[in-house]
Amino acid sequence: MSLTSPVRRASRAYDEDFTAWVLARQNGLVRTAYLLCGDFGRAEDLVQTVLAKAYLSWDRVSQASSPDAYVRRMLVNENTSWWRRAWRSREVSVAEVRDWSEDSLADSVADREFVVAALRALPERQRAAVVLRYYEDLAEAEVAEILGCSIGTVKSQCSRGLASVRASLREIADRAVHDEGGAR
Amino acid sequence: MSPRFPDDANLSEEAFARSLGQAMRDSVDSVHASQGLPEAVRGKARRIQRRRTATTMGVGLAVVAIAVSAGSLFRGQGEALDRGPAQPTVSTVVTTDGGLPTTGAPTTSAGTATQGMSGTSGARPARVVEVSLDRLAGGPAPGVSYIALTPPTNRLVLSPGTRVEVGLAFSVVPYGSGALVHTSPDLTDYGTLAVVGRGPGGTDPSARSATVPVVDSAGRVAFWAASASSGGAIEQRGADGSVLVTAATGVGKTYLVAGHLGDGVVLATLGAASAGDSLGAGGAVVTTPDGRLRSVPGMIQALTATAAGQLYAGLRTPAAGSAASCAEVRRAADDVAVWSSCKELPQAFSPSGGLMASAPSTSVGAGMTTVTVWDTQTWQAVLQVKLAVANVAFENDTTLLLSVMAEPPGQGAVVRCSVAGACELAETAYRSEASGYTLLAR
Repeated sequence: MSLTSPVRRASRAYDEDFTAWVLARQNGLVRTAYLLCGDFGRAEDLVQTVLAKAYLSWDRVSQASSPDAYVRRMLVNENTSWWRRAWRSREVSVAEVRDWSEDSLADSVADREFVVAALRALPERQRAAVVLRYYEDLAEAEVAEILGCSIGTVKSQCSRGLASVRASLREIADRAVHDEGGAR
Repeated sequence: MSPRFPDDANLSEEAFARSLGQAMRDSVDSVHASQGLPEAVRGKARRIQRRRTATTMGVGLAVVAIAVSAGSLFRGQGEALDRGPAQPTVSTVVTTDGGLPTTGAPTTSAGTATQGMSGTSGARPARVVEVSLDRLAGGPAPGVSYIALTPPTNRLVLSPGTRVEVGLAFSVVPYGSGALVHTSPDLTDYGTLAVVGRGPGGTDPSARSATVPVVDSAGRVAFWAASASSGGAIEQRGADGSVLVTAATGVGKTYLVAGHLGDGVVLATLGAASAGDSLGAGGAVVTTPDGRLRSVPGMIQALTATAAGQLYAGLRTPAAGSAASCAEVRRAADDVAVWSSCKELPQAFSPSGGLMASAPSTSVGAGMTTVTVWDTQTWQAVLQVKLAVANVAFENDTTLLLSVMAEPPGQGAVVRCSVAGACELAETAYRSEASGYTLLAR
C-alpha cells in the first residue's frame, strides 16, 4: 500500500504557503466561526479542526478557484456536522434569548451578546445564510454555492432570519424596558 | 439596559440587514485567533493523520451517516447477509494477523472499574485491517435498511431506491418501510418527530414533539421521550401507528432514549431538570414493565443497548476528583459490568448481541478512525478496522457496515467488513452526483 501522509510529505514550501494563508485569514475565520456557533471556545476549536483538515489537503485546497470560499464552506459544514453530533455528545444548547435572567439583562451587556444571542436563536441554516450574506457580505450566489442550495432558498432563509433576529432583539428590548420599569 | 443595536421599526429590511451586518462586524471586532494557531493546526493535523492510517480520501467535509436497523423490513434482500466471512472474491488491502486475542478480565460489580479490557491499547485484536477504498472490490448493497444522509441539503437516501428531502434532519432512523425523522431547528433535544415513508404522501401527518427515537431490533416499534405541561412520558409507537406510554416521567425533566432492551424496556439518559441545561449529567434509567423508571446505579449517561444480548452500555460515574468518565457494558439482568474502557466508546451491538463495535472516545469531532469489534462472550477484540468512518452499524452477526467520510461532499462510500477481516465496498449502495445521490437498482 503506497499511501503517503500529507503531513509526512509536507514540504517546507507547502508549510510556508499554508502558514501564510492561515496568518492572513485566522482572525476572520474565528470571527465567522464565532457568529456561526456563538461560543468563543467552540469557535476556536471549529477553526482548528477545519484548518487541520484543510492542511491535510492543502494541495487541493490551495488550487481551488477560491481557497477562501472552500474553507468557508468547510467551516459551515463542519459546524453543521457538530450540531448533528451534539445530541450524542450531550452538548446541545438552547437559544439563550429565552434563558437570560432578568439580572443579566440588567447588567451592562455588550451589544455583541445581544447580536450573538439573536443569531443563536436562528436555525442552523438560517444563521449560516445570515452570517455569510450580511457579515461576510457575500453575494447571494456565493452563499448559495457554500450552502449547496438555490439562490431562492438563500433569499428566503435570509428574509426569515432577519425577521427572527428583529423579533428577538425587540423581545430583549421589551424585557429590558420592563425590567427597568420594575426597578423604579 | 436596552440593547443598543439600532432597530427602528420603520427600517426597511434592506436597511436593517445593513445595520445587522455592521453590528455583527462590530460585535466580533475584538475577537482574535489565539497566538500560534498555525502550529496548533499542524499539531491537530498530525493527530488526525495518525488516526487515518489507510487513506488519502480526505476530510469529513461531507458526513455520510448510515443508520442500520438490523432485522428491518428490508432484511434478507441482499445476498451479503448470508455469504459469511472471508469470501475469496472479497478484497482486503492489508491484513495483519496479530493472532493474539486478548483475555478480558471478568467484571466486578456494577459501577466498579474493571481492569484489563481497556480498548485498543490494552487489547490486541485478532485481526487488524487497513482499508483503502480505491483498492476494494465491489459487493452488493447493504442487506438491511439503511439511510444515507448528506449535508448540507439533507437529502435522505432510503435503501433501496428512494430519495426523500426532509429539510433539517437532526436524526434519522430506519423504521418500517421508511424512516423516523427528527428535526430540531432550535437545537433543543425536543423536536418534531415524523414518519417518512416512500413515495408521495409518505409522511405521517401525526408528527409530534419528541426526542431522538430508538427503534427495536425488528424495526417496527419506536421509542422516544415526549413532554407535556402535565408531565412527560417515554412513549412507543407500534407498527400500526398506535402510540402507547412506556413509562411516565416527571414534569420538566428531559430524557433521551438510548436503546431497547426487549419487552418494551428501554434504556434512557436523564437530562437536567431545567431548560437550558444539557443532557448527560442526570444519570441513566431503565423503564420497568409496570411503567416506572429505575435508576441505573453508577452510570451518568446511557449509550446503547441490545435486546437479544441483554446488554447495555453507558458512561460510568467518574471517580471522586476525576473529570474522566469511562465507558462500561453491563448485563441488564443484574447490572454487573462485563466490559469497560476509558479509551473506547461502544457504538453498536450486532443483532444477536454477540458482537459489539467500539471507537476511540477521542475521535469525536474528527470522525472515527478505528473501529474495534469485540466478541461479547469472551470480550476478546476480534477485529480492528482502520478507516475514517462517520458511523458504524452491524449488517448481521458476521458483517458490519462502515460509512466513510469524504471530501468533496458526496464522495463517501459504504464499506462492508466481515468479522474475519475481509472488506469490500457495498458498491450498489449509492453513487454520488453533484446534485445529490442516486441509488442504483438492485
